[in-house]
Amino acid sequence: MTPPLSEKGQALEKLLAQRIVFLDGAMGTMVQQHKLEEADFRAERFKNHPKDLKGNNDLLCLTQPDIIREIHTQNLEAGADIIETNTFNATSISQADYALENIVPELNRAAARLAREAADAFMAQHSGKTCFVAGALGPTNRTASLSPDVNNPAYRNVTFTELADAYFEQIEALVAGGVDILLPETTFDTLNLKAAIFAIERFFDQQPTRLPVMLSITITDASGRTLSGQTVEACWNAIRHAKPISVGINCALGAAEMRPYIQDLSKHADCAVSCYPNAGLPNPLSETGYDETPEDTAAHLEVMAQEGLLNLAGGCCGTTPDHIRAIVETLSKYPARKIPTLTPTLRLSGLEALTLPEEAPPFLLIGERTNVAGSPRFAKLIQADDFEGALAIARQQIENGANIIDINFDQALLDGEASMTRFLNLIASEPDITRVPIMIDSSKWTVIEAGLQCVQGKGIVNSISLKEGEEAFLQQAEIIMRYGAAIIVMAFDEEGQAASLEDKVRICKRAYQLLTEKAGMDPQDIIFDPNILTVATGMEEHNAYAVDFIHAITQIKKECPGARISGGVSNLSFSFRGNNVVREAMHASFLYHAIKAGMDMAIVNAGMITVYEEIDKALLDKVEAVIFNQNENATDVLLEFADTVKDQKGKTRAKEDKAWRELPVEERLSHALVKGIVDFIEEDTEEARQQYEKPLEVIEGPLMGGMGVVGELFGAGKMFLPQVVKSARVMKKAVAYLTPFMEKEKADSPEKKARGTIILATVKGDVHDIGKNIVGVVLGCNNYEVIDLGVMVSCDEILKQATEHKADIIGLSGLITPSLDEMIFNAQEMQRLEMNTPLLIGGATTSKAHTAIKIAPEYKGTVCHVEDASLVTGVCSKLLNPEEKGKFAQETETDHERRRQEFEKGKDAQGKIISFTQAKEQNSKLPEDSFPSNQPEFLGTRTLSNVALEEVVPFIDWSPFFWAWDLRGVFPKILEHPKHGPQAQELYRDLQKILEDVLKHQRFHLKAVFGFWPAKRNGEDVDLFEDLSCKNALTRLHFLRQQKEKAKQDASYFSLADFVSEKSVDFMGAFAATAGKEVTEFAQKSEAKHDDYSAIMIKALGDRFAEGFTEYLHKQVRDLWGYGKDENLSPEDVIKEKYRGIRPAPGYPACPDHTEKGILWDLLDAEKATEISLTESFVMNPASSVSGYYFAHPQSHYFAVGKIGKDQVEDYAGRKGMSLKEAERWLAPNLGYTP
Amino acid sequence: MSLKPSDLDTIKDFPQNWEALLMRECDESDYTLDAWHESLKVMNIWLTEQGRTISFEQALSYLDCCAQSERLSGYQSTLTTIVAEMLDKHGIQENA
Repeated sequence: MTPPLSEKGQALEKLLAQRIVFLDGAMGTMVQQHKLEEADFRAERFKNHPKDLKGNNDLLCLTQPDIIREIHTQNLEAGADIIETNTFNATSISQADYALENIVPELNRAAARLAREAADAFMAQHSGKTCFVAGALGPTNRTASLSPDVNNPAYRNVTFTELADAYFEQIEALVAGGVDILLPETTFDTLNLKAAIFAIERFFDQQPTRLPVMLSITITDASGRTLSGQTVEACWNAIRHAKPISVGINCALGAAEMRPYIQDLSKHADCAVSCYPNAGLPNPLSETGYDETPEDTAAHLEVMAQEGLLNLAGGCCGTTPDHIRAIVETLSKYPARKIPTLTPTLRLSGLEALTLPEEAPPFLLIGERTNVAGSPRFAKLIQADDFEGALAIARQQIENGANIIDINFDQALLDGEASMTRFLNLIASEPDITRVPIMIDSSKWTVIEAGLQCVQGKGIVNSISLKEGEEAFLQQAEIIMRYGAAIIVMAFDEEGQAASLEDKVRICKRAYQLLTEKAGMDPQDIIFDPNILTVATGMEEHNAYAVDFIHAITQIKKECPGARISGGVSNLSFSFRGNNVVREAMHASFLYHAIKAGMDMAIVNAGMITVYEEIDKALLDKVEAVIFNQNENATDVLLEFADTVKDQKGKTRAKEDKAWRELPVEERLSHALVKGIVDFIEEDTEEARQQYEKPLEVIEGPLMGGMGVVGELFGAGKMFLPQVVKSARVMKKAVAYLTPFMEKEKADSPEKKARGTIILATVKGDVHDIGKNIVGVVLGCNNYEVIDLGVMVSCDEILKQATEHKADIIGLSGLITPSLDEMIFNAQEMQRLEMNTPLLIGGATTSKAHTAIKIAPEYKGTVCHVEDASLVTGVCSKLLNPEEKGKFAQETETDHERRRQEFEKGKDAQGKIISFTQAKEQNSKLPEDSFPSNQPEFLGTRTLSNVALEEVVPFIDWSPFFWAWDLRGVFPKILEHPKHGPQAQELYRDLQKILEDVLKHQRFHLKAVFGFWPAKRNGEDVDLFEDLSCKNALTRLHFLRQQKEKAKQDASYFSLADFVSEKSVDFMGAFAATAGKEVTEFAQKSEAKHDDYSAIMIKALGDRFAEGFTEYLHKQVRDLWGYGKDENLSPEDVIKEKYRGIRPAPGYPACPDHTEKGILWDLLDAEKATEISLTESFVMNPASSVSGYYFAHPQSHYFAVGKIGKDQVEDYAGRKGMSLKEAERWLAPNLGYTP
Repeated sequence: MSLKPSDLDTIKDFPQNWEALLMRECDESDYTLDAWHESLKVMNIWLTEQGRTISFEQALSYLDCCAQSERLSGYQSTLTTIVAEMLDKHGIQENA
């Protein structure tokens, strides 16, 4: 059991809840001011010591105690609540440099006593003040993750055990000397810190109470990483098992430079956050080595306090008690950061974090090829002692999409511990490999522990089980927790391996209870492997293995909330060794169904996963009959079919070998790229690789040559976006194939040869990404390195990644109007950080005018609006060409200035705004008897979740699908278009293939909630009521009215409120509908296969289904409302909306305020009913979703509110209970005046 | 400012109620009738240079698209600027 927190610990907790707590300043800086000489360091006691001691500041606790005590006192007088012991180097490892290992316990005890005396004396003089002494544990002068010998990357000059033992010795002495807190700090290598945490936990085992633990890491430079290469979040994931009272950043940077990393940490840490920076960046010419005055440092920290990022603040190198005084005075007026509650989830890390998102977590692939038992190639390399060669296999797994790599050395002739240690040490020097979490796989406990001592990130242990009983199981689990790893638990107990459904569930449930209730393990760190066993063995009792596993997933997840499910998939198909076609089909099908049942990750060969929908139907039927044990002959049928499959595949390929296969390899590659044929790309690339001296030459030669042809054809309008995206898919596969060879040969990476690095992101609050993805592919095709950060990306993250990757250009995308504000914010932040990176703006709501008027003035760098994907390469090329960029920037700014002037001048041409009073007077004036008497068949809400996709297809308007690909025109006429027709037809054919698959497997899950309510117009609003009595209003909907003066005499100025009766009981409806999160999930499968073309197709198709479903739903609604029953409309007429009534959406022209969606969501309980959530910008997530109101009045029609006056905005703000400023922010595109 | 069909010799098939149709589109946009008239003239010049003609219905539909194109951002260029840029970049397709 964990001992309770000490009394002082509880007092610190209490203080942290009340205010920002202050740490002291630098010890070394203050010691330096005493200008001590060698003799001062030695004093009498060490005068004959054989080694120089000047610079051993920790030793001063024994030789110059008065100086140290005085420094502590000065800091306390300056306002510090916590002072740190002068023990930064007081471990046996660091003191070995001075040959003083033998005095380490004495040194720490003396240091703790000095600080204790100073704190106690200060408290005695200042009653009511509580001060704390933190025992400082420095990082030591050695790194457990890095080799000091560049020629031997596997070498380490310190081990985890040596570090942990040294820390343990220091901790014992510090606590004996009276410290209140343990503070491992200035961590530049997370593995060192993990050793300190390990020692702390070991120490607490012997104690009645637990001291609070503060952790502090060091971000070494603008890369935003520790010296050992981890990002802030990755590091936090690796150390949060320490359950610290605080985590923070200190040293190396000044407060200004530290701010983005504190922001990041503040977002992810569910404990207090500390920041004690240096006094700016080092300046050797300055007296203290640093330039910042106390006021400077305090002002930089104040920015963070204002933003609510800090719980503790203090100073590191270069800071003095005067700095602390200024910090205390400046920051005391700000409240402490509110500690967030994080959603429980699995948090892993390598150099980068792998934190599973709460919603729609991706399925994780665990690369299995770095396993001597599973990969003969890997085993052969290890047996030949070619560990460096084996690294290529690890790298290849990651390049093929593995999110985690499994590493196993369980082979009788191998020294498992030594091999595991050597290989993990080697990959620690390979950032492209070690960026992902490591799975340490062994059946031997000592090998597992050896692995855990080498991994700085948060990895996974594979595996432990109840095989040897509860005691051993719990003991191993507790040790693994102490190393901070997640655990795979095999469904195995004292009786043996679980094969049946019942046994799998029973054992997992028992293990879960033991781990969570006795070991205190976080359920999120538990991953069950309920054993994927071999089917189709010919033994009847094995026939249900696969289906039992699938069913076990659901039951285990229900019984063990928070736990995840994994498994090794290759076992499933051992009966078909030698027939990869059948094996891959079995794996793909099994995974498809297991993932649907809730499986979270699988150990697989990441390079050999067939796409489920590409499996031949005849084979798939037989495979699924085996997997689901559909009949007793299933195995025989599949065995018989297996050989035929092999033959058929060979024949088919032969038939497809057309004339182009006889061309020289360069021409074949070019042909494949231009035609987007992926089938032979690896074999052709390999052939080219053998012909060329270096693999890079294959890229720079035939592949780039082929892409050059693609670029030329695209530029000439002879190729279209869908084809370009297909070409990119081929290119990606070829480069992925070559990369391991290039790495092996230490060739220059293609990235270094790229034309530039471009960061792309859909801004915070927005989830739409189809256009951005197409832009990314087009840029990738043109040899730009594209770093696509995805959707809903915060400004901090965008700018952090841009800095990290030294981006040449940043591209922002957004579909809805609130995203425009976020883009402005991004530009402002770029200016604040004095960046100069060009900024591209794109997306449906953006415009050249908005970019020129609202974004460009905020940022001194070049800001450029890009209308569509076809223009982006031209813009990027100019921005990055040293000869052209100056001229282009000037031209862009001139164009912006022209647009700004035109806007000012053209305001008159945009029409006069009439008064709101006049607009209201000239409303639609619908006569009372025009309001229909139809009453819907029910009142309240209903959900719809069982609509087959086929039913919706006739309601789909396909035109926007083509628009997504920049093929402008109306479907089906676009297919016959003289210029776009052939490409539109090809796209349509590809669409049909995906559509067929989507329908066959019902890949999307349509869900909707809709309802009807009695309604009455209330001025400019509409009230909705519970029942026909109209006594209890459920909610109020707010609408806006047109105000732009109309040319037509006596024209009406519309508001949607006009279409609801003010006098009699009328009705309104509302809805939210989605094609489901499955759209993104299905697209992600294609993305994982480097198939952006299919991924974009799937997302565009998902949007069409959401819209089609909405049209389908509207038909049901009209029928339920009564007036639709007599309709005699064809699906085409329905698509053209030739029916009565409308379904306008909040955020769009007739009701442009997105915040009304919040009211709609409450009314419909939409998130619960449909799983559509709203982002902070009121964007619906999943993206393939639609929502809106239903109006039934025969004269109701769509219109655009357009520009409105301040009088209406003030009125609207009052009606909604918003401030004018907030209303103006949400209605910015509609303001007919400058706020 | 008044506009007559004879001012726009490349735009054909003016229906009888063309003024009402034009006014309806204008009233649903953020631009004045003058801006629409000017834009029709810009289009007429471009069509003359191309040696092409289009129907009034097509012209109106094209202008409506232009008027909507920057609307969501809330900051719009003048209608004549948008029309000129659209014509320059995309032209007018004959069959879409």
